[in-house]
Amino acid sequence: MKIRIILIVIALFMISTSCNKVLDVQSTRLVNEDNMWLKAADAQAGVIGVFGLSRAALNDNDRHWIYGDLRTIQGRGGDFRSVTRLDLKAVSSNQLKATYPLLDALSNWTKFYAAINAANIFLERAPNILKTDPTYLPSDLKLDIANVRAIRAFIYFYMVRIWGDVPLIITSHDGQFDHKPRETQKNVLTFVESELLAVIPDVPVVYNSDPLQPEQPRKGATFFTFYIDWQPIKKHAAYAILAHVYAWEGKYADAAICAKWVLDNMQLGAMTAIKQGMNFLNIDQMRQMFRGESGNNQYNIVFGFSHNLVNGESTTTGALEELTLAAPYITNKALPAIYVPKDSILSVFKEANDVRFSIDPILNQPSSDRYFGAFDRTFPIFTKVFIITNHDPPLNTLNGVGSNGSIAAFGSATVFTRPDDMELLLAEADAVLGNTADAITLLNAARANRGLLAYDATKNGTLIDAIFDERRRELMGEGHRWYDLIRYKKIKNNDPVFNTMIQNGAIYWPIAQSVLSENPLLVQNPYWN
Amino acid sequence: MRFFTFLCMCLFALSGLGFGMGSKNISSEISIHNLNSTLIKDTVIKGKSILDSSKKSSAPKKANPKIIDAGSTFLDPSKISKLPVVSLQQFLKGQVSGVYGTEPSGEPGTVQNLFIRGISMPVFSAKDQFQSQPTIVVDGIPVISYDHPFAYDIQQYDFNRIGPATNILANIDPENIASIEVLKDLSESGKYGPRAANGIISITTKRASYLKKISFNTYIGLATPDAVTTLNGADENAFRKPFYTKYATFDQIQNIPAYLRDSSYTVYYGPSNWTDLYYKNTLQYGLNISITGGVDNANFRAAVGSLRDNSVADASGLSRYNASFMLNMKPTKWLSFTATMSASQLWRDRNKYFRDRFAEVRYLPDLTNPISPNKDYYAQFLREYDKAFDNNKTNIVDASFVTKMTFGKFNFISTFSTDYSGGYRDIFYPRTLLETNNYVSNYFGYNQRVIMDNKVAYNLSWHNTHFIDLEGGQSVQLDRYRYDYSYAYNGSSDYIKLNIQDTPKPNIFATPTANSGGYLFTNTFRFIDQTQNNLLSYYARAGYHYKDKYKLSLLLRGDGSSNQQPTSRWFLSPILSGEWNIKNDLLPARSAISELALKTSIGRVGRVQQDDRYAAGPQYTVDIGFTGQPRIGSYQGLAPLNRPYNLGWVGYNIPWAYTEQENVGLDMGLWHNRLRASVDLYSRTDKNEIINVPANADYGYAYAAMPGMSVNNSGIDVELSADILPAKSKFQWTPSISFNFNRNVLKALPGGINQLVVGTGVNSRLLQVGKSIDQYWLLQNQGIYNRDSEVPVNPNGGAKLSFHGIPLKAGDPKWNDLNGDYNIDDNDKVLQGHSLPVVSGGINNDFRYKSWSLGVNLYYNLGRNIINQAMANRFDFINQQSANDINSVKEITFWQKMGDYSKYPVYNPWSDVIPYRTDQDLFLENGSFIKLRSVSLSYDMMGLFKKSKITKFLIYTSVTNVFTLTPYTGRDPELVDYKGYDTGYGQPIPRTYTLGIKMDL
Repeated sequence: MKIRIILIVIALFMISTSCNKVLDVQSTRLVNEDNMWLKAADAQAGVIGVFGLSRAALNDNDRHWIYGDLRTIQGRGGDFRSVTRLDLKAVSSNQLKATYPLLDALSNWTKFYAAINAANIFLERAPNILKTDPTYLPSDLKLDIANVRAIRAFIYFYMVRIWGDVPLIITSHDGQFDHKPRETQKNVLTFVESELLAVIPDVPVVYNSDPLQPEQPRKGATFFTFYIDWQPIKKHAAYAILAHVYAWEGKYADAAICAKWVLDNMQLGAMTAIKQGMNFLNIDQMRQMFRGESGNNQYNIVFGFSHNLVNGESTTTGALEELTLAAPYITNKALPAIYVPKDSILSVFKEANDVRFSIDPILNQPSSDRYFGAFDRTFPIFTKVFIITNHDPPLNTLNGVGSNGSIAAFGSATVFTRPDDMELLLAEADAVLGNTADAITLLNAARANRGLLAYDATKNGTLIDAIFDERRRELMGEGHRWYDLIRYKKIKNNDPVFNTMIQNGAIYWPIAQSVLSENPLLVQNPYWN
Repeated sequence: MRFFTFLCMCLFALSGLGFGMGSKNISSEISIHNLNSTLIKDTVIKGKSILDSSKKSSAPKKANPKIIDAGSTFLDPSKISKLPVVSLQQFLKGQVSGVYGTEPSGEPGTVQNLFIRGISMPVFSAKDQFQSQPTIVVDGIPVISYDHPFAYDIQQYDFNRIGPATNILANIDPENIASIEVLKDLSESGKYGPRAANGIISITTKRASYLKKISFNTYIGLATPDAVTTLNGADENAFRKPFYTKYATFDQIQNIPAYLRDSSYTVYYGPSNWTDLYYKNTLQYGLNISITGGVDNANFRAAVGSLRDNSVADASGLSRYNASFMLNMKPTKWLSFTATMSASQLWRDRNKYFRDRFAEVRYLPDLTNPISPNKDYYAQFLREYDKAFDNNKTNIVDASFVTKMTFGKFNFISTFSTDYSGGYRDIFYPRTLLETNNYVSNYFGYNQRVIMDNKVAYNLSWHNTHFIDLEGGQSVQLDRYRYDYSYAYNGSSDYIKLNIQDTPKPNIFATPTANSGGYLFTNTFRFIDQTQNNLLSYYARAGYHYKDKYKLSLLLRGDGSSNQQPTSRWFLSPILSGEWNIKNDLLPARSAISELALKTSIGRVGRVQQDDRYAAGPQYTVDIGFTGQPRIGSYQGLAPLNRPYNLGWVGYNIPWAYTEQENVGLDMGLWHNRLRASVDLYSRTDKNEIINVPANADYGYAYAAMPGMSVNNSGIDVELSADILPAKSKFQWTPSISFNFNRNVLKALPGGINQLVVGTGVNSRLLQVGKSIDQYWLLQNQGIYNRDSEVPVNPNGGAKLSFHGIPLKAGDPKWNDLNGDYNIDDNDKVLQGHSLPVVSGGINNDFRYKSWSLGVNLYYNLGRNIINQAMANRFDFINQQSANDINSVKEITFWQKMGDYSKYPVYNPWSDVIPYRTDQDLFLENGSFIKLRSVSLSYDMMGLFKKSKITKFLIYTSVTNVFTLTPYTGRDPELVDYKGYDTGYGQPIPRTYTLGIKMDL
């Protein structure tokens, strides 16, 4: 009897001891608001999140290239054409409201706003870490904030080029997601300019812990190695984005100042000390640059987003190579998704000795496959950007060991701007501003680097034409063509059809129906109504 | 007093708490054996087990006639065990009214669904289907019956979950089952709390006994494929010819795919005889041996079994090895223990679908040319597969330990149990299978549940007229789910097949060319994920009954879940049930009515969220993937933390989702129970369910996870059976029918919105308040525009009728412009059809003559529709070949004729409007069917062994899947995915002939 009672007591005790504690399970899959923004590591993760989401926005459905290199209206636009894919054909025939999932995705700006929201949250919450983690210094915070603001400004600039007016949201509105109407492009760009100007003093010229650069993360601080390895936004990047913003707005004097700053400061002492001076790369180095990884000339990407191959960031989708590569370079596709038609290639690259692409007059065949390969086929392959994961280390040519193309997982960086872009942008600004001599000097430097003779108005046309032709050749496949064309047409103002489309907003993309139906304050771009 | 202790015992016995225990407590002369026979007698007398025609079933139907059991249905396992079926879903299909089992593929061991009384929420994605699954309870233990779907988060395609993707419910050996009980409403299932939200299927295994008995059950079977019509390049060319003749431009003719260009190319134009290697007659077998024995106060049952089930297609199959052991001990009068342990191992030989392999490898090769239909070339492919391996193993171990103490009128029962299933998949594909890339992947994942349950019961009575039983208890259920998964490409050799998971990761910056088992780190990807889910419950139940006339029971329970936010962690559910035994009360003298009882229940239980993200509120996670690349987890090799922009915003104040159920049922037995009927009317409303609503796009979120969806399922369950001939007759005929009519209606959506579009493009579905959640959202197809001039022109402005702004032309479909705006878009789509049957059930006929018995089982689904996607894909060949995406994959079965091509109009396949899109009713078909699922004949040989030790000797033979009657023009209308699409991927469910023996010694 006694034992019985004891056992029952023990059992009742068991009941009462299993308390609510078992219900407080800390998820290992996520971090809730209470446990975020406490440590320096949270700030790092937040910054990385903003960059990662921005990369996702540009790479989602290969949109950076589809927006920039494929979009065409009435024959004016990107150099690339779809081989068979009907959704891509719709982009180059301006049928942007056709019902292909791709077009729906590209009309949807949510991915961009994810980066913006992450940035807004960071700016609101990260200062809290100063109170909870003594190793996170005010200077670390300042630098992180500068990086995040610069990215947010960049994303806004990117969006207005696609949709024109967009809602300008600069706070997180967490939990109170108010609908916002579209802000005029002009006001958004004013914001972008002021943000970039504001962060320039806060970012260094290079991340190397130089005591002469007070913007640096300090030695010993958590982020030290993190920024050194990575080199995110430095002054050059902020100026370069700003140069593009001003050029887009037609403020060429300001654009010139910014672009010139980049070009004048490519070899600062602090940079060369750690071998990170920027250079105009030769054609072989350039291909390596697209790898965007430590030790691969990535310091010459003034601003872009990379895929770190050794950490498994290679992708089968979301890179230009997905669209452009095919047999014989990779084995999993007989035909590329997009290509530059042969007659386009021949008309764009018509000058002799162009190291990018030229026809050898004796052999009557291309002298290299640096830009285009398999030229004897109906659909030549665009080989300029060619980072597939089994290059380790990456190769300057396509023919080395390990480059058999057997695995089509790609790792090219999304390059927004590099020194050559700045050089030609400055030339463009100088030409518009009437500094013809400076413009010609810059243009000739760019041409010389690619094996071309000096600019000759009789052969190369007007200076503006020559500069834009050179941009077209140099930056092909880097997502610039469409926006260059718009600036060019604005400068020339001699194409009534296209200039009307600039006026009536046809140059912008429609806004996805799903986005419109969520926010009653939004109105469709009138051209797409 | 003794009687009530006995009742109590029986209750616990039913709850899986051990059978033999406590008999000494009742009285020394009632042995366990007597207890058993008492139960059997009870079953015979009550005769309520509707499917129990043999009347010899040992199913403990109603050990305690005082227990309210409205809304539960027993199933006689002895019949199931005569069919060569493997999974629980297959056992239950068409057997119990209100239980709908799917079998989307005949491939053994693949995931199948069970829905009791409809679906509680829309099923539009692979993840969704698990939210409506019932809980399986084995001997009182709610087991985990599917792999946690969180692994889908890193998957680009959700055709299969990563890992073995084996149907865990294929582990139950029917020979070990004593009874299966389906608890459809809360009066019975309420005791399982939130686990009962989708209903309970309660399995009681065969008990330990001191009777020395050896049982031996075995069968062998032959599965035979149906004849198929094969196609070759010439057929495909002939199929395409009308399109080319009618519409093709010069360029389009030039673009004809390489494999069809040259009719002298024997690879494609030669004989199409791949079926010789693909479809085969296959053998199946099953074997189970069990033994019981011991003494009165310590006895056991041990069983081992083995099974092999082979598909007729693609050499896929399943092997099962299982062992179980049960021990009863009763050291003193007031203390008893029951320990059970069962272990099984499932090995699955999977199909060789290209699609599934590419999805696993996450890599698409050039898909322009399909595999050759010729067996010589197909054999080459199979030979390459010989160098590969794809090992899929699942181990399932369940154990429980029950302690019972009696102290006067108090009973104290403590249960400790664990349920574990661990899945392994190790893959190696050689270079030759994938464009010179080899591929290796290793997966290990487990689901684990630990349950501690304690309860106290107390019984009371006055003058044998008023009976009260009280029960209180508490239980803790701790769930943990985890997986480790890694894969790598392009190893240095096809001969190195290491487990990359076991290889530590070196410092890649120090040694950039370091590799793991020959796989470069640039080509190696690793994932680990884990989630926990704890459930804590307290409950109290009071039951009262008056004589055998009125019964009333109230259950109150509080459940706390770790997947709920701290502010709304607990949920209180009351469940009230009552039964009026009309027969005993009003009609005791009417002999024609042997049983008549009205029963009703009303109550609610919570619904546990399967995802722990809802508990956290606003949160940060790794979510920087993009379309086609969901798994990317770092930037510059560093982990981000950001809001779940792709998965959706989660806010605060998410309440418990719960289900409210009402049930009214009538049980009737006439003429000594020769005619038995049971009718149940039910209404089940699920409330506060979370659904992803597209929201906050301007803040980066694809969705917001919002609570507030409500779905009602209502309907009627009917079970009817009759012994047509008098009991004396040598010939017996027992027909029985089960029938369920179910309708679901969406009652509310979050935030008071009236409709919600889920998904985009052709796959989008519409949820509209007041309509069903399993409907398709389709354009109405009304023919073809043969000439441009036939396309209507808007009198306002003169624009032609367009499709999303693209003007329609000759060769485009004539879609109904419902709203008359001269633009065909989503506003012109109509909700049509149902992917789930409105009416489903089975019809059984059992005949017995002397020692012979014959069972005929029909299974039917009515009021169900199917989108024939396989057909749409064939017609949409232009987009299929231009896209080179996962939907363009052509399997070897591309060379098999499925359905009738002639009934579809010849549209322009190059048109921008995608004429053969699946979101139109052109491909919507009636998927109703009635199927002769099995015929089994058995002969009881006991007549020959009257004086031997043999107590049972039965030989039987059966045929399954004899024929199907259906208006559906595709293949078997059962081979349809959870969304209602016939993708052409399901392997055929074969006709199987079996021969088996059941023997007890």
